[in-house]
Amino acid sequence: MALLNTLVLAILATGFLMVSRRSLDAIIRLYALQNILLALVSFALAGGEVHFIVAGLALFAVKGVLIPWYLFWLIDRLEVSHEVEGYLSVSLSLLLAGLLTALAFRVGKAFVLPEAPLPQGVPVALALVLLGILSMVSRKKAISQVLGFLALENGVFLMALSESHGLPLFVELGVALDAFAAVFLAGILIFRIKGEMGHVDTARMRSLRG
Amino acid sequence: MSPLWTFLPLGLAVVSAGTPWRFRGLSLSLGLAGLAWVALGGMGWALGWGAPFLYLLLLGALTLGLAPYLPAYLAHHPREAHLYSLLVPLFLASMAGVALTSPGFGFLFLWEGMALLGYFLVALEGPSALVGGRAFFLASRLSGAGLYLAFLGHGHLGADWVWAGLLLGFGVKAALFPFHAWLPQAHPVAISPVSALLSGAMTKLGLLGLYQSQYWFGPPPPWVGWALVLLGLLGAVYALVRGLGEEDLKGALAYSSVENLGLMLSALGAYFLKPMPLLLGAFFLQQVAHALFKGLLFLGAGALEERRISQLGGLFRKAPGLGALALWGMVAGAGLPPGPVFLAEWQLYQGFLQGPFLMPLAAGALALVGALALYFYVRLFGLAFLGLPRGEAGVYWAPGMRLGLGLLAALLLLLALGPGLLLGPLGLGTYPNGLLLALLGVLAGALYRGLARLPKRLYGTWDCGFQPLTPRMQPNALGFAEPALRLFPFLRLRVGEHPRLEEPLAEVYAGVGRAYSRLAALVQTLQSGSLHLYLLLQLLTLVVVLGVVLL
Repeated sequence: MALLNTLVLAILATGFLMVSRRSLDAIIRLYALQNILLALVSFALAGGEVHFIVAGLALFAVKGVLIPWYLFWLIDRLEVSHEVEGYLSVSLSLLLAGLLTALAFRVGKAFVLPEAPLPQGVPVALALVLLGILSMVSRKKAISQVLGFLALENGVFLMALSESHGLPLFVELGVALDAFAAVFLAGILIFRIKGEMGHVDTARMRSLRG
Repeated sequence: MSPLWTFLPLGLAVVSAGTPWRFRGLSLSLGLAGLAWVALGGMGWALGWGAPFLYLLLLGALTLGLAPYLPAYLAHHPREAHLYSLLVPLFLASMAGVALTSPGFGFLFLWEGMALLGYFLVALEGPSALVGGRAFFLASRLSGAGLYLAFLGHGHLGADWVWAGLLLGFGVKAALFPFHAWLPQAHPVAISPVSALLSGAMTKLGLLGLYQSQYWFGPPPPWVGWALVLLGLLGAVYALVRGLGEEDLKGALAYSSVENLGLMLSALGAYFLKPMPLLLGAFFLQQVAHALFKGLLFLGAGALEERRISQLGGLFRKAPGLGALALWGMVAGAGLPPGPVFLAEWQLYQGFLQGPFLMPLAAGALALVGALALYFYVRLFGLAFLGLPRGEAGVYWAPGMRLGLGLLAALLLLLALGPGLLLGPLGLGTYPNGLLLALLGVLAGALYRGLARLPKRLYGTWDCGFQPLTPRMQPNALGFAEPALRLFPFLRLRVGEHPRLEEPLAEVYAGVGRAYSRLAALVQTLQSGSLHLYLLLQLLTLVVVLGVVLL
């Protein structure tokens, strides 16, 4: 139990750090770490069931290694600065992240199902979702929106892991592949944006309006 | 036996729509489907299976008229002909489907599908149909909203709410008074066979729906009946007066549809208040009669290449067959004695006079409608078919079109001679009209013979001994109607070099439209183009939803 608590808290900590760090490299590394921790949670919950282990391995391989590697390659090819440009200062981001996490912990209990194997994971999952959207809202580079979305997606995964005895194996594998496909497509789109506009700053793309 | 087999012939039309044989296939399949519907509907109605079968009969009769007409018409108007020959059978099938379905999601699916097909058929006419098509689409949305309220609210909301939804949902389709404005905009811009279907058949589904709703959703509260009587009569008078000032021949016919539908709605409302078979007789007889004579007139209008009344004139000489058929349709439409509309209105008078509370007063409004309808059709026939030609309006009058109009006219004559065929299942007796008609015929023949023997002198009737009349001296479309237009306060006639008609009610609709677009512009400020604002809105929504859990 203590091990699971530690892992879940560590996941939350990576989420916090992803909101507060200013370097894209650091955020991608934190994302990889978060996925490794999630894979460990999956192993810890397995209790001898094979599909947990397979799902955890797939998570580790796809989201812990493949996606971070792809993202590093992407920002190198894009030739943009590795610095995060945002609307919020570090301290303000941390304050908002704290408030959202408090909200998640306050309402988290209401979402716990009676037979949830990991009740303490539910508020953390909610917090990850909220923090993911927060970093999407507050940052300007298109690639940070992708990272925010990935963090959100991890929150959804953790929620599924905590509430049920895991989804069927094929669904888990599908979700992992799905995330990779989404990131892959987003990468292609970002290349096109860079090619068309010469920058990847979403704050400057406002001509499609009602 | 499932009534679905009657839909089979339409498949033939759909299959052949893309081939070179589409016109022959269309004729054959429409004819077969029409015959099947007439047979099934007639049998069902005679055996007392209910109102949907009368509707099937009506639809079948119109389809029979269209079967020879539509291919001949499309051969002359080849633009988008293959699409019409695909969409018209589908539209027919959806209407028959709506009539035969009981309420539920299947009904809503067919209803919305019918509305969508109708919109396509109107919008196919291109840029000239833009306004009319939009009006049609908007009315369909409004009608759908009312039906969703009624169908989903049934069992949860009170009868008042359910019936308010039904009144809106079916009433908009049947051109109930404040919601009638879409019909004269949408129906005339479509091609004539489609106008005939929209006016003749689709609007009747609103009436059928309201009638069937009393079995589906329980008896209506009394206010529904009063609202139908009042709004129906008000709409009838309004539409006739407005139609008197209408320049477009098909537009005027569409206003006449609003008038007839108003009378049927008021008959249904009176029936809801006091269930008398007389009122039902008026309701159903007028439906079939209106479908036949309006189909006849719209199809006849399709033979003309000019629709502005001020450019027509003297068509009777040019196309006497068309003139005679149109005269028969207009005599029926004006509610003159041999026509079945006369019988329907006669029954409606009786029903109103025996009605509860202040209902007998409605007979006065009905009398006004009768007089105005006569004026209305005298104007249409006189200006378009009599007098001198005002322009070089061409007439396209192919054999197939003659056959279609002739079929509808013959069916109308059959209904005039034997209304008992229709009213029998309701347990209504009719006056012995065969004898009366024979007497009338003998009288007219004797009068004609007598007058023909008198010595004749030929001269221009109205040139008063001065120079002969020129076409420009004839009254024009607005001038002929001027006395009536001045009489009624809800229209303003501006005379002068370019006389025109102002309609305050249309300005009210325009005001509602402007207010709505101002509201929409407020919402549009949210769509600023900023990705971060959209994401922030999502975050706030999520936080608010979570906050609701907190409470």
